[in-house]
Amino acid sequence: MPFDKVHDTQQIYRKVLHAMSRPGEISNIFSEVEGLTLQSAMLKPTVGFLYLLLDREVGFHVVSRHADEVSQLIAQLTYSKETPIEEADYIFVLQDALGELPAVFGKGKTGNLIDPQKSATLIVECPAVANNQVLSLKGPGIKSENFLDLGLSPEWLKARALANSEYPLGIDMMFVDGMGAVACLPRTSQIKEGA
Amino acid sequence: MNRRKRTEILIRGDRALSEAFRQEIEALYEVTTIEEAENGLAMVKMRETAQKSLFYLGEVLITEVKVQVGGKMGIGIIQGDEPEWAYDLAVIDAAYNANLIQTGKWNQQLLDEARKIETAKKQKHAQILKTKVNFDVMDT
Amino acid sequence: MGYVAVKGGTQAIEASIERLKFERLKGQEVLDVEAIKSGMRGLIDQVMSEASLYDVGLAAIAIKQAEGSAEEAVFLLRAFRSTLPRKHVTRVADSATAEVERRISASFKDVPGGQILGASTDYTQRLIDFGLLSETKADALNFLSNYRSEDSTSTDLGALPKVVDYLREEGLLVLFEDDDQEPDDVTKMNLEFPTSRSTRLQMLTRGQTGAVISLGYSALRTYGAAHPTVGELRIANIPLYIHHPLFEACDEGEDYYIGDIKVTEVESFITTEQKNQLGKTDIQFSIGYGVAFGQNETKAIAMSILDKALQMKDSPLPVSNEEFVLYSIDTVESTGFISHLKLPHYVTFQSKLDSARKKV
Repeated sequence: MPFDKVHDTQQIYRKVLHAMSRPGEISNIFSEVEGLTLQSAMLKPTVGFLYLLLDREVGFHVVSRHADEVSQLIAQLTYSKETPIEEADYIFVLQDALGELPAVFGKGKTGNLIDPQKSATLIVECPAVANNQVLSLKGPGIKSENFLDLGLSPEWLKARALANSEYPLGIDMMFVDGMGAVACLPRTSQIKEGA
Repeated sequence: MNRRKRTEILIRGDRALSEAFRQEIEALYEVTTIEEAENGLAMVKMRETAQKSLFYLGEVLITEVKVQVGGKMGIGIIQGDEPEWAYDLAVIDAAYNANLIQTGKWNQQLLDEARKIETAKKQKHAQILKTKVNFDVMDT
Repeated sequence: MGYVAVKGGTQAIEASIERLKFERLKGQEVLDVEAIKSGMRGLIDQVMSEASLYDVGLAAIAIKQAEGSAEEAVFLLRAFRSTLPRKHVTRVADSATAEVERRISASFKDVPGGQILGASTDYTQRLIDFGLLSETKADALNFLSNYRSEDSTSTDLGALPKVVDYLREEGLLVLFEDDDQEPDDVTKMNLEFPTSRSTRLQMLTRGQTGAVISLGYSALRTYGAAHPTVGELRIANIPLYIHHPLFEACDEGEDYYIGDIKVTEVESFITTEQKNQLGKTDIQFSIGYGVAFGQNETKAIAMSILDKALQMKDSPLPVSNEEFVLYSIDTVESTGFISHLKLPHYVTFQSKLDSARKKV
């Protein structure tokens, strides 16, 4: 079935909202994005995120070796504007640039005390999103402890902790893999390595 | 003819004209729809006349379509819920962007339509101008 | 006493919604949306203006669904609007070159371009026309065919000078350069005081018609200081253009025309007295600005009064207090908050009863 911009986006919204309110729980959006036909350097589920998040009222930035072409495509698709990383509302870190993830935290905006919501949200393409006991999560939306395995090397954890150290300022994150698995880490989630 | 003028004529003029142009292109070229007709909003930016500053007046419902003809993208945007008309406008826009020879022949038809629009406008204005006041100053 | 969770209203609610449909249809007449579009211009204009969404067709459906209740129709349109992507912002809309359908000035008899009355109820005697009871479609068509056979004219109603520009040329009004600062958008932010001019104008133009008129009236009636003269009231069809969505910088000739919107625009002249350096009193004119989607004349004039009143600092007028005016004026906010009083407050009210009983 071809991608339905209204209803499939609505479903993705419900699922991402679920994942964001229960950090570490995995939703799957594969059936929604299956019908997308767009060819690009982005994973299909990431393209689904474009329809979910972007319009002309927000700015985005792409971190990728193909950032230029991808950005042009996104602008054409959503009318959202490409901005410098420091001003972007949404920062897409594609799978070919995961090494740059730690550095992104120092640049993305974290909001201000009056409007902490005016911060960046990171969308990260991961090798695989699973519930293996690699990262242990605690915080709002988690009953006791949730586990997450993103297949990423752990350097970003420190950078994230630093960016989120002055609550309510901070950066929210969404993780997605090629099979449509989605997990989220709002700025309030506390992460520890290992079980 | 630039796009501003062209879209004015196609939208103010007879609906059948856009339809005919679109059919002409569809008969000869492959038209790929990039984005199906979709409703959206356009925010109206306005300048107030007191201090000449800008403000937002409110939003207008629009319909928008994107197509590709001859390797070029065309966009159709029109006020209101008009999916078919927006599609026709997108095909015509793409035809102009791709410089298809058909567009050269359209110029005269567009100018003819513009004349019809002008005539109708003049009639409307004459009707409105019947409500113009002629003051007679009274002798006192 | 803790909160008591209750359920069981579902069936009653479903029956209530069905009852609502019954009320709409019990007269066994189906209101044609086309008929609403064609004959309910006043209500449609009011609803579009308060909803801040211009679309005659949508407004007509909302009016049908809301059984003619303006507040409900506006609520429906605002809710619908929130589901749509905002794809564009138009080029700056220009009323000076727009096609005028009505244009009057209360300040100058011989205004350049003339007083054009257009369509207005102002000059009617407000007698109910019982002939409308038996009006037929044939009557309508007959009237139209007679009305349409008119000559054409050389006067272009798209080039009527603005009265304010005429006064500016005379040196009677303060000159302003174009101020191109990007406007604030109240649909995307919380109100912060003091507000910008763009915030105030957007809040006022989408304000509830009755509220705008009443508050504007209060400025005239109670204190009398801000009696304006309507410099110009014009009803105009403003063409809307959108720049190429992907190449913003390209020139205006490559814009997309998307259609016209009808607006009412008012400039009110308000005189203020000021002592000059020699101790004499100078009279100065300033302008209050009002504008609304559609033909909404009283609202636009009242808005021009409020625009001016909100700029008068240290004024005794209640409507010079922008928190008072701007927080009260939006129809969805005011009707929404008042309506919520109908929702169950069983627990909070019980606690009030408890404390009242304890005191006895």
